[in-house]
Amino acid sequence: MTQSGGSGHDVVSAGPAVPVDVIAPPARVTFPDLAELWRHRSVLWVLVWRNVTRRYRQTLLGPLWFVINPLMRMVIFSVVLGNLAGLPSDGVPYPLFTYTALLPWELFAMGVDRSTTCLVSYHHIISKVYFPRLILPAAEVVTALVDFSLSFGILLLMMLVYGVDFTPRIFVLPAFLGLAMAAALAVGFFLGPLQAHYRDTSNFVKYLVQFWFYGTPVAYSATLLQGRVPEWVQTLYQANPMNAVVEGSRWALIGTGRPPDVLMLWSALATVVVLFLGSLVFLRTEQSVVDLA
Amino acid sequence: MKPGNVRVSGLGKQFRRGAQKEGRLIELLRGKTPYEYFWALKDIDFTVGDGEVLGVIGPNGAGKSTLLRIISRITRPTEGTVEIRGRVGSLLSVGTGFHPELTGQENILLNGTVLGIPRSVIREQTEEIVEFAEIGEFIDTPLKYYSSGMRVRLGMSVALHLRQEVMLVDEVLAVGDASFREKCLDAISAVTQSGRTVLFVGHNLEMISSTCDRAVWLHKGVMQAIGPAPEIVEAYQKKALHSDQVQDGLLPLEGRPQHGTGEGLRLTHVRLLDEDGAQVPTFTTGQPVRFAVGFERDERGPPPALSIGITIYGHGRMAVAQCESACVTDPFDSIPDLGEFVCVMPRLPLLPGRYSLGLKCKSAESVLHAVPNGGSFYVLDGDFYGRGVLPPPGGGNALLEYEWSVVER
Repeated sequence: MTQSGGSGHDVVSAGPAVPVDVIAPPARVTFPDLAELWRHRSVLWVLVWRNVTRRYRQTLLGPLWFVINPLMRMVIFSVVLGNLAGLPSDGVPYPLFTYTALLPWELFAMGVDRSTTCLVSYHHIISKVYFPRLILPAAEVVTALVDFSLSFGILLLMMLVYGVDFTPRIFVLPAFLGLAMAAALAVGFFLGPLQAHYRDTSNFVKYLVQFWFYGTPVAYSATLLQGRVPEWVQTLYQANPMNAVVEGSRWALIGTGRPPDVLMLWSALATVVVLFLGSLVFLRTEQSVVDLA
Repeated sequence: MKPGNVRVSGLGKQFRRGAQKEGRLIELLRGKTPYEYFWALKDIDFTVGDGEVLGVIGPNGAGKSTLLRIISRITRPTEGTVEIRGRVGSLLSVGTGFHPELTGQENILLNGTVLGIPRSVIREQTEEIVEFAEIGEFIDTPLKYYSSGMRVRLGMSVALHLRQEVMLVDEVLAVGDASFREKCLDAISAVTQSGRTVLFVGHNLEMISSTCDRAVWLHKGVMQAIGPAPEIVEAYQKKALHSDQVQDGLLPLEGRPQHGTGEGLRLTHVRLLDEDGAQVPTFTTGQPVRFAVGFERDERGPPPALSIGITIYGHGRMAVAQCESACVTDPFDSIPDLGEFVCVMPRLPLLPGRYSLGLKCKSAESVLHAVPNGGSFYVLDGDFYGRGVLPPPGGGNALLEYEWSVVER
């Protein structure tokens, strides 16, 4: 029995291309390692692909479901809210009015829901193999984007049917979608680790998203509030990044809503800051999450 | 450090023990911590590299898996560091990310990517993977229709195509039926011979001492020893021997699972004896030994034409040999009230290691009393062929008598 020879092999390497990785106790603050994320990008694609494919396996209608779900939602909204409740829609046909906002909203809502639960739902993977776990919430949000793109095809058809003029404003849309994804990811970064500790979180998230939904002019027009609430409430209401996403998407697609303004820029900036802080929280928890099981 | 080198310094991992209760908010408000903490690993130091194969041995709960999980970056240590030059591949993650709704083909891509195999390599080797897994035309069938064996085979054959500089291997991965097990073991030993650094967790001590250059012995999270594999394995075996309850050479049969008609007789114990009939704690290869199987006769007495047999099992309960009284002598027609069946072996033909015994006492018609696992015993290193040399471990436990020579033709 001999004790280890210790650093007997401490020779300068012939192949400097291979870096030395140091596995150490969790650090107080870990910054996102973008180079490492890039190296593992194929994991992101394969997880997105897995999420998307598995949902229409063993269904009769297959990928059609991606279209049916938002379509049905839109029909229900039009009938109940547009026709029965008579909510204003700024002179735009109500289905179009709702759908232009509903799609970016769903992108956000689904992103929040999935990124919050990802550390738990992927536990069987992250407890067996290593890759940067920031990929998990990212893959969930990108999955939501894939869903969005399919429904977006329907929206374009609807716009043709209703005779909406396409304008170059449509090229601004990706900026708003990016903001929706960033906001979803930011929420997921904070709540994902919390969900790993306390499974109550996802219940809480359900209500959070509902409140948020009614606090955002998706199913109704923002004009509903004008003159009815004090100025500062109005400002707060518009500072909501999802307000920017929803109103901005309407502006980009059908010309109503809210053109890009300074407040939007500020809430986008705030979202990015929160996203960054969220990533720190996520990375801090991620290091011990497997032991929670 | 050279590529493929791993240096573990002062490594420790603390886990918490204690139930996850509901309604913890109240407890938290009261300022109670519902957990206690324990060290699953403590003060681990070693360096491995240069294509070395390092065995990791120790009883259950020694911290073997925790060590591999830290090295594969699945979990972080509580203290200390691991420095690794190169990528780490792990055969512990067989089938990770498999999704039942996806086909075998799709799961190969999914699993391979998650494990870190480049997609181009996966595509190139898909055919090979499918062939190794023996799943044939099922490749386009969703995984949920696979038998459990097929799933494991598919996972295993993807994992065996990992090509990282440092590989983590667990011997229990060799699963499935006998022929696939053999294929896996071959593939694993190919990995250990590929010149990469390998950390090998094993339970088959013979395999550890034959395939590993060095071994580290863990016990309750603490490093007991590190050094040349055969030495460490031997030390570990000796330690295990001392903690086993069979050290006095008496193996009581009471309380062990048993069956049989129980007609007229009951087996009570097995004693390990040397050639003079003295009870010994262990046997030595090549020495004369006796197994004495004790019995009690009841007043009815057993039917005539009794025979007794013992079966010797090696690692993993693989039968090594049977010693049947019926093969070497006439049936016993009368026995005393209290006594022992004694089996004499002039030269114990077993390699050093741990063995267990199965016992069966039969009459002409029926099994009177059988104890499938009658306890275990150890065989220590000794001489069998009179030349002080034994075959290396891993090639079977029984020593046959033979001669070799060269003849002209």
